[in-house]
Amino acid sequence: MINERNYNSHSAFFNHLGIKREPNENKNVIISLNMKEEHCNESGVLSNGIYYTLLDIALGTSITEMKNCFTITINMHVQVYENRYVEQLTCKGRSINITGNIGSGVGDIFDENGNHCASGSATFKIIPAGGERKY
Amino acid sequence: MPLTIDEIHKEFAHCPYLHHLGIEIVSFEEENVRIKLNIKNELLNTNGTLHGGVYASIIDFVQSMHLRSVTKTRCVTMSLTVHFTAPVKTGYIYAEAHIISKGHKTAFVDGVIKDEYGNVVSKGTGTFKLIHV
Repeated sequence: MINERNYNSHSAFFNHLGIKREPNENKNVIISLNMKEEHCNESGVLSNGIYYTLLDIALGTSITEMKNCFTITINMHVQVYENRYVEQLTCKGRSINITGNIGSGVGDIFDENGNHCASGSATFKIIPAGGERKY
Repeated sequence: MPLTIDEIHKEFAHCPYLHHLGIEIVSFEEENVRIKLNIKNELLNTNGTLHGGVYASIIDFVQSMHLRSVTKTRCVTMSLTVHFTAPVKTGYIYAEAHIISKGHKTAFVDGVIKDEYGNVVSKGTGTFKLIHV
């Protein structure tokens, strides 16, 4: 049972990376990240893992907020457009379909100048708050 | 001028994000790259299992390491698809990759993560652009 946890709380990994939650815009979930050295890859630019993490969080949260539930990521596809050093990233995610216990979301990541850095889509399994997790 | 495998290994060994996640390089030889991660609390999601962003990061790392061990060039990820097949909460996970197809400018690479008992917990396919200097 997972009803002892708040489905709106942030994960430990969210805090470990220093991600911030911003106010929603329309139905978009917005999260942001100020880039630090620990986010860099072997070439000294932003690691793609940051893109994947931001999209996973923003898209999952968009489903969570629609259904007041927990989510488990089933799959995710990300296209990367920028591989360079950035100051700040903003990720906007929204749910596009929820059918039964499956939800889908799409999202985009922009840098501090509004350049489109990455986009992604993901499918999530929906676990009702208080429901039992069966993987 | 192509890099040597030792130079590429050193680059990854000093990668800040690799250290931030706690990923260790088990082996780094041509066509034989293996990495591992000791799952710690700071890497978990709200369900108490390893965060999807960590799975995807590990797959991306092992794919690019494996590809670079073969090509000796730099490479950048153009796209990545990840399937999350099972949750993990504790212990170690291990990742390996293999090249599906490699041209002069583009390569497709598969990556797989297994738990310490050999069960597949995630698989992914990446498309990479090869940077010839």
